[in-house]
Amino acid sequence: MFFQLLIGGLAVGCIYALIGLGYSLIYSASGLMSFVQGEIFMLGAYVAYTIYVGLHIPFLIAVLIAILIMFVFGMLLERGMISPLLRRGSKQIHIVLATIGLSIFLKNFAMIIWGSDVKNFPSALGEDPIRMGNVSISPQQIAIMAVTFICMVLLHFFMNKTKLGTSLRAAAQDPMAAGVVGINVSLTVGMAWALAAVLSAIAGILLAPIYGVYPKMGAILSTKGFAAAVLGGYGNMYGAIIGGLIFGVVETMAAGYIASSFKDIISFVVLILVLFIMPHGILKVKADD
Amino acid sequence: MKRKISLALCGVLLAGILFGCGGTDSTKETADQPKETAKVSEGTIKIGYFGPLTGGTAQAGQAAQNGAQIAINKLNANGGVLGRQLEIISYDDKSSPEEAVKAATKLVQSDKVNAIFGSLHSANVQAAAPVIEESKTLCVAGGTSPTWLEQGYTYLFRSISNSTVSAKQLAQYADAQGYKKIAVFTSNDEYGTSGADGFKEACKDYDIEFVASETMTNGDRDFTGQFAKINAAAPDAVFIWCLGDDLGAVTKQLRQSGFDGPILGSESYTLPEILENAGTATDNVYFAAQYLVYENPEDAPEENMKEFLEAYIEEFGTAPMSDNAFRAYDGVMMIAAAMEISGADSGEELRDAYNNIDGYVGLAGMFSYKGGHGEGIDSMRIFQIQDGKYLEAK
Repeated sequence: MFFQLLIGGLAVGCIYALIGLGYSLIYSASGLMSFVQGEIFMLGAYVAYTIYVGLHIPFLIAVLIAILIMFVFGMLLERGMISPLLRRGSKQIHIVLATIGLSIFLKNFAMIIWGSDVKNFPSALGEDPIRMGNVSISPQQIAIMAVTFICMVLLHFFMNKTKLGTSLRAAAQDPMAAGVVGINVSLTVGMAWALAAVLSAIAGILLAPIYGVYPKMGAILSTKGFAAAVLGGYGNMYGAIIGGLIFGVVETMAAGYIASSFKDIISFVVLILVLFIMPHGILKVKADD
Repeated sequence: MKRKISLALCGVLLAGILFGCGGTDSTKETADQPKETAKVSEGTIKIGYFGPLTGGTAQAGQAAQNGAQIAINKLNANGGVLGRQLEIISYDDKSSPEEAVKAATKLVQSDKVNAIFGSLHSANVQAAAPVIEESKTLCVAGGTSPTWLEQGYTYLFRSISNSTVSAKQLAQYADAQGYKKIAVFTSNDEYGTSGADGFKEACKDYDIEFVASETMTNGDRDFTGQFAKINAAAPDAVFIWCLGDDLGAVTKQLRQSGFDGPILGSESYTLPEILENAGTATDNVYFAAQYLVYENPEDAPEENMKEFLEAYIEEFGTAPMSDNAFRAYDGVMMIAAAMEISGADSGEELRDAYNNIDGYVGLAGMFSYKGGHGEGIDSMRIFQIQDGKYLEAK
């Protein structure tokens, strides 16, 4: 049973990690908190569903188009809502409220456009689980872990080895100095939000075959992804990944070994404990110190 | 003088806010309800409806409202009830007990309806019960938890069997099939808890051992921990009692976790979206129900069901998406029957007439409310899902 729980926990943890990455990315690039990642996750799933199932476009192409659309959405979100608010002198809390408002809007928007019933997203990898002894893994779970790993590697590569990624980190550390050096700071902030949207959308597309697609699918993930980011060190990308995986594994182990009713409680109890002991989260955010 | 002016201004402001808010609230509600008539005319009988028109179970709520509308159309076409036409006044309870109380309060206090059908969720019926009971308004509801009819409310009735009846049928079936070890997996709300308790209670008469008891929260989608525990206990059958919008994912994941045995479930398995979401995972699922949700009127064995489905398809363009349409139809038709028998259009007399209904044949079968404390029907059939089709089991 232990390995079954471990694999399930890691798979779920990867999803929390992807969403937590979004939160940390936005925070590290713009110093802002966004509470709409769960709904972007949901929107990504719906957009992919419409293209793949509605328009019958082959899976990989549909996914790429959906990711592109969500990238643009993230960029528009930053340009159209966040920047104007900041220019008018909004504080942190106003941005938080704006993103919460947007999340409510998106949920109801999805309900009106697509209906509130659970839509079936057929898995491109088939439904039959692979059994190894007592442990069964569904191909979707393997896909989740593989794609998350690839995303992490690509993100690391992008942030450290490419010009755009490095300028993003520079702008995050010191916007004024970055501007002086010739970096287009507003573009990089837009990029960060767009990348975060892409990560959440990828999570949505990965989970759609398991969850089904419905308007409330992002709600609880929003909270857990945020908690994962905090656990790992808010603003630290690698921390978000660690936080997400820990969350997923602890939650699944708790449901398996203690009681299923503990599942939601235990993760947040762990979060509170970690914050008492290590308020900065597991990996400290370098910029803050 | 300045103080007096500012006090007066405050008073005007306060009055403006109070009246303004009151006004906007009701106009907002009117604008929200597609089926509400613009003018409430004198002389019409008002049937109130409150149910989940939005939220995860909106399909069911919408189907119920439609079912009630079909009943009203039929009654109006035949001359109405007590010589008067009927109209429906409906509110959305948003699948939430707080909203259910608000909706029910509006129905009994501001719209002063003659009778109510609603809600579909037992938690919402439970929440709205006090205000309905106090206003002496007859209310027929579709929720299946036995609890809200065990609290002494005299104005609440149910137009379908409660989950205890399902439990008894399923327990009987489990014993007949020789299942000795059963694992239980339910949602952790009122619906799931009462379903599990009812089943465990019914199984006391048989030699059945409960080897695992797991729960989930509505909306959650990862059950790895719970299913690992259930599989480790090696049950002969798994009893599942969850809300319709979770059932597809639950069934699919239970099968993927390695359990191929029989699943005993609730009438929520009649929701078409579950077959779509879970596909072949629904093979070997057994549930107790009064009726199936037929896509085609020709598939319906009973004449009154055929007639209802034809009228529904003509009015709304598709077959009902949920069996709640039948619950609402039966409820409204029986309310009308009680009105005709007693000559009363509301209140205590109407309630007493409803209590005396005996031998009424509805879509669910034969109803008899005499001495039932609100329960009217207690027979169900066991159905099985195989290759995406429903068959009667046994």
